[in-house]
Amino acid sequence: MSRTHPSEEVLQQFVLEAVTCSAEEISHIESCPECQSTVATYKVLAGELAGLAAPAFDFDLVAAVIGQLEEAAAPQAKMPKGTIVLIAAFIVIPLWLFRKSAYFVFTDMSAVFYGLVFAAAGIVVGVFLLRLYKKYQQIINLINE
Amino acid sequence: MSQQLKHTLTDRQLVDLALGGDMHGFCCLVENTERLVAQIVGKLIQAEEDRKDIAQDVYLKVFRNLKGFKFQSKLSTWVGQIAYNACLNRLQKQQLTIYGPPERAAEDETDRLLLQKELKVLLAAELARLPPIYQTLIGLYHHEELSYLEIAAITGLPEGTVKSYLFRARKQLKDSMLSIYKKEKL
Ligand SMILES: [Zn+2]
Repeated sequence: MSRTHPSEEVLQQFVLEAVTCSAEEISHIESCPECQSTVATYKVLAGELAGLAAPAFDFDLVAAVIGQLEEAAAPQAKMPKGTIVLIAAFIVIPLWLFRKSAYFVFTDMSAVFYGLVFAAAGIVVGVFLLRLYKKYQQIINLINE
Repeated sequence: MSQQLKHTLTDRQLVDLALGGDMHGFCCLVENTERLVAQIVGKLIQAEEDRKDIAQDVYLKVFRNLKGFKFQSKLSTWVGQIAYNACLNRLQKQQLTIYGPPERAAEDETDRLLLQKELKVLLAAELARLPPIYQTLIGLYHHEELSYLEIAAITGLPEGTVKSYLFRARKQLKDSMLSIYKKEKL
């Protein structure tokens, strides 16, 4: 048996993965009462550590995660209430005001006017889609942050 | 497919299910990795009110990035990495460190605990007084039975550093245990 005691690191290694210790170290530890005593303490410690209660969340993780996923997905499909009211007002109010001459709107309009109406509608839809896309990007960035 | 069967699926089968839009597949992934994530979040984050928030963020990230998972590690290791980094980010924002004594250090309860004479209780109290990074590594090695290499992958620390931190943590616990017993004998 070698006279010098192996380091405490080696003693831990002996307890946890003896195969990584050298034959000389093992032979010393097995025949040295002082090292044996430290090894015994580490064995108790390792056993107790493995037996400690497993940490757990104090809430239902699956439910919380699914709820969060649904929340994150929702803004992509939902239009803000204010926008819906505004769009509805833009359609309903002129229709109600000009309800008597509504027929002539469609028969007497020039082709240029039609073009203008469609262009304006196109711009409104385009801006709305762009805003929706930007919002979606923001959410994705937030998630990937 | 029954829930029981889903818990026996391989990482690849589980990921394929989740990517195919099977929410039960994703729930199963959550259930399979919950203990590991609880271990990491529970040890690194002292504020209990923040833990739910972080755990949710972790799985949101997992869900969003699942497509990019290349099976270069175990799925649980990858989820563990995300959890560890999420905790570090949160602590960084709060200007807290994982290397110092815990934010909510347990009071010196040794004398009261001595009366209970139960090693497990004493040890749990001593463990809670170690810096959060030591607590986490102890949990991952002794509780989750992960290898040094897996712990290094999760934490991004070199394997040698993981070993040396674990050595110091165990030595500190052993010394505390011995001093408690000596105190008891007096
Ligand atoms: Zn010796």
